[in-house]
Amino acid sequence: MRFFALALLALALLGPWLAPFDPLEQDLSALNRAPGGLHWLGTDHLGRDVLSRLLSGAGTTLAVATGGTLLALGLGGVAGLLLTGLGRWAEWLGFAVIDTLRGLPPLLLGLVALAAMGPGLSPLVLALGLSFAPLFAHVARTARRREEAADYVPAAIVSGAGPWRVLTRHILPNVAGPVVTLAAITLPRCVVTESVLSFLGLGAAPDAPTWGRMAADAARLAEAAPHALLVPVAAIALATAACAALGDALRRRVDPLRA
Amino acid sequence: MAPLVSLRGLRVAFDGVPALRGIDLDVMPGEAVGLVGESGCGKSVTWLAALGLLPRQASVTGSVLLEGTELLAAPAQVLERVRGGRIAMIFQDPASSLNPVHRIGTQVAEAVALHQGLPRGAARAEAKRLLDQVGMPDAARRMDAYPHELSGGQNQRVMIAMALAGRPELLVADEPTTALDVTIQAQILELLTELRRAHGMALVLISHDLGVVAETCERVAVMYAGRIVEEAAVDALFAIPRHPYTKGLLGALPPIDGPRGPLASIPGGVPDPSAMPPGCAFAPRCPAHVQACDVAPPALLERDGRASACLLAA
Repeated sequence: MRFFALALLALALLGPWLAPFDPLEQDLSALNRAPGGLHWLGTDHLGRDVLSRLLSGAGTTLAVATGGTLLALGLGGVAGLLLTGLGRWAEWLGFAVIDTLRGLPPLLLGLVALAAMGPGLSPLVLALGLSFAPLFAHVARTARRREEAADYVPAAIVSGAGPWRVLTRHILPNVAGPVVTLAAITLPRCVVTESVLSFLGLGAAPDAPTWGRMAADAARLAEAAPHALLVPVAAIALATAACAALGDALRRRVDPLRA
Repeated sequence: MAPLVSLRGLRVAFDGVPALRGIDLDVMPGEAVGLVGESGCGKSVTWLAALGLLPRQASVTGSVLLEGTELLAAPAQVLERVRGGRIAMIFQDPASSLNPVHRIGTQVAEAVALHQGLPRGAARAEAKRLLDQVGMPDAARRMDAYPHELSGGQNQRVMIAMALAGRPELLVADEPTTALDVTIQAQILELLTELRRAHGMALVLISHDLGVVAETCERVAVMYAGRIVEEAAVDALFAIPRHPYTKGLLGALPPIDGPRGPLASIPGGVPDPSAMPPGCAFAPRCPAHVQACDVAPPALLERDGRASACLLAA
């Protein structure tokens, strides 16, 4: 599975050069063609080559999803860890803000980001990061609480470690396991959420291929061209499995005990 | 000789419920003191409070002097230097007191680096020396092991090695052998005694096991319901206990020979900490109870080199 994750990364990087056709070129004489012949994976409702769109969309899709996941991990993880140490009121207030953010639909966050930053991939990444950050904050808080109750924390304090050292050297590596696992789950969810946002025109140019948008476009014509829907969905599923395996391998690296 | 650590009127309450009700205790340099009593009597809380390790909800009053320096309400930097550097502490469950994600060599070396300011390589060398010193078999190889790969006794040796890293003047061992089986228990106690002699380190051994304390300590303080009820040299205490609670504890030890019989016990139970009797906390269970016992808690009074908090013993 780790090999598969690497292959996926290679495809994402080399995709645009491997694509047999121009992913944007429409061939109105060959709409909704089934896979086979010249078009290995068929064509979509505008006669565009599905394989080419899949390959050239891989990079954007994975970049946006990875960016969103990393942003969520960074923002949420840091906020969750630090707020938990600040005392009852600061923690309550901080998590009130985080839970408010959690209550807003990603769509709304995306529209606000788009309005503030203009079109492009960065508001998309920002919206994904902000909508998934609360989950990371909660997981980090729970993990920190649990680890603080473990005996090695007073043992570290009694051996002279200050609060910062206890947090970074002792608690952080123990919190990393669940947070990394959550990241592995969040990455594919970002791919799907990206499709919803892209469908509404947030993100890159409207006809630029991403897996989520391919699926969203094809879903309306699933009866005429089921392959155009199945191909990006299968790609998302495989990418999800690869991410999960990668996340599991990472978690095992940071967590010798629960391997 | 001036005491190394001196506790005076140490009181701890959790949400208004008293857990410690005035502890006075001196620990001399190099001395081994045992602190015995049943679960919940405040043995561990005494030292957690002295080192500032209790959660914020706990209210701690009184005085903890380390060679004249007040530790209660001391700034964090002072406490961080004291912890591990002058007073080290080891806990009951060695397996969970070690961080599960770091190799033991790294953990010992970190303690060394923290207290002796050595660079990485030298700290690792010192860590290996300490692990050898605490009798870790094949220390060089075990440096790369994680805590879950070692046995309980080996983990406790690692904890002791970490505690020694700061060259402390006092080691507080909180039930260090309770989680270990009897043969390993004897080895660890022997190790603690050896290290104490070699380093001139004082030892406070917290235990509910009278045998462990008798073997390891020179002086014993018996605690009951948040107070010290009797304090004496080990031999004197075991030969002639003065406080009825101590008498009850010693009487409860099963005889090693003779016919089998029911185990002796002290009737009744420990009083509820939120509803302490007005007088002596042991009065409701005491076979020698008189009316004067219920007036006020008796003070810990000294007589011929030992002390007990009982009207009848003083």
